Amino acid sequence: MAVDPGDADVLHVVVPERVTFGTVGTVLEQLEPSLRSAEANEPCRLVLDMRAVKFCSPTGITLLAAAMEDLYRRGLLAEGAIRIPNRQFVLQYLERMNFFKELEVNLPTKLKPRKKSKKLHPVTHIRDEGEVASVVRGLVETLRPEAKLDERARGTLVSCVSEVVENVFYHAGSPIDALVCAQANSQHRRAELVIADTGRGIKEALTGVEAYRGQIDNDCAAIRLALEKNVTNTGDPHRGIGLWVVSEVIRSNGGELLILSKEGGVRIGPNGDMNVFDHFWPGTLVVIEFKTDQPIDTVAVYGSAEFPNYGDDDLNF
Amino acid sequence: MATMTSTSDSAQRVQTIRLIDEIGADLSGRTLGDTVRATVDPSVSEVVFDCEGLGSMSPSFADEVFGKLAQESQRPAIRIVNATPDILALIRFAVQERSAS
Repeated sequence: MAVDPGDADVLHVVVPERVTFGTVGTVLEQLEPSLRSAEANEPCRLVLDMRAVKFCSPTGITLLAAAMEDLYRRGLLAEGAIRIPNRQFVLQYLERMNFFKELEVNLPTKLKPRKKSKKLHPVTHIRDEGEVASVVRGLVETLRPEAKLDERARGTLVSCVSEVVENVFYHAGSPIDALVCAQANSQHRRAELVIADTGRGIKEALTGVEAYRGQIDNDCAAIRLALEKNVTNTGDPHRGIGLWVVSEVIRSNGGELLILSKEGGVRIGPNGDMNVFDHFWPGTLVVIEFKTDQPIDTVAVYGSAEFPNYGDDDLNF
Repeated sequence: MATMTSTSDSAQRVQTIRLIDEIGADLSGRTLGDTVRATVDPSVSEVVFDCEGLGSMSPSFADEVFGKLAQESQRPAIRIVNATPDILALIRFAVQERSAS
């Protein structure tokens, strides 16, 4: 914490006022020099200046925590300092979201204790595949009252988020494992779930499959390909369903899906339109934002499967 | 893995696997799916997967258990009972994906 902010070699990350799903690009631009130095395995000295922050969503919190933790874990943060937000309520919110705990930052003043929130799930590590089910279950249960999730919506979300998190352990090789976070907002009738890693990214994972090589000359193309059905790096043509299912579920709900992976990003908007952009993220980050006043289920997604009819209730094969 | 094998009137042996009993209500992951598939007794004539009480099932779990079972040529008949519409649709999907090849 002994960084001299006047030193020209110190990287300054000035976090903007709003760190949200919608301002990810701005935050990533600020973070890019430090993320690039980490990608090149170069130690950096950093000041994370959060003084201006007025609002931080789960996407912003997870992104900042994952980026900083990646530097810590890989021993690349030679020196670092954080300038905490000026606003007390932002500090309290970030503390409740485990942000300072994740970064091992001791606040200079003790904050007033607040009741545990029933609508947000703090930044949480998932260390291995065996923890996925319990953490994801807790994540979705946290959203349940505020997002008014029925059994069907709950099951769909647990299934979808489990698939995304499992990808981290099957394919990413992430130094920070997986970081997850979530929050529901009944006022805006939306809920946001974030899964972040700092692993090898989608393009590198798919490059091992000869059939894909001509189709993935950049990270955006690799992400778009990964959203198609049966795209996998395992060589088994029947796998590779997870991201496709997630995208179809979110499209039918009218929500939004954001996937960042290395040099690329793809965002599926509320009308199902797909936009690409080119901000850098040192791994893969998936943000699922769904509408809480719209159905969220998988029957329509899987409904295309034709099957000999043995009755509606049972299935035999 | 708690399973139950029973003998019917026609002396055909049936193995019942109640998924919720040993695993819980939310089933995900290929490792777990592989474990469940390994409990199938190849000597019985039918295996009944009882899905009563399940809250969710992930596509990778469904593929690992039901998709891969569907591909096996020497296997007991498989019956799925008490599944919610979403889980039933997913299992149908997983089976069809593997059966199509």
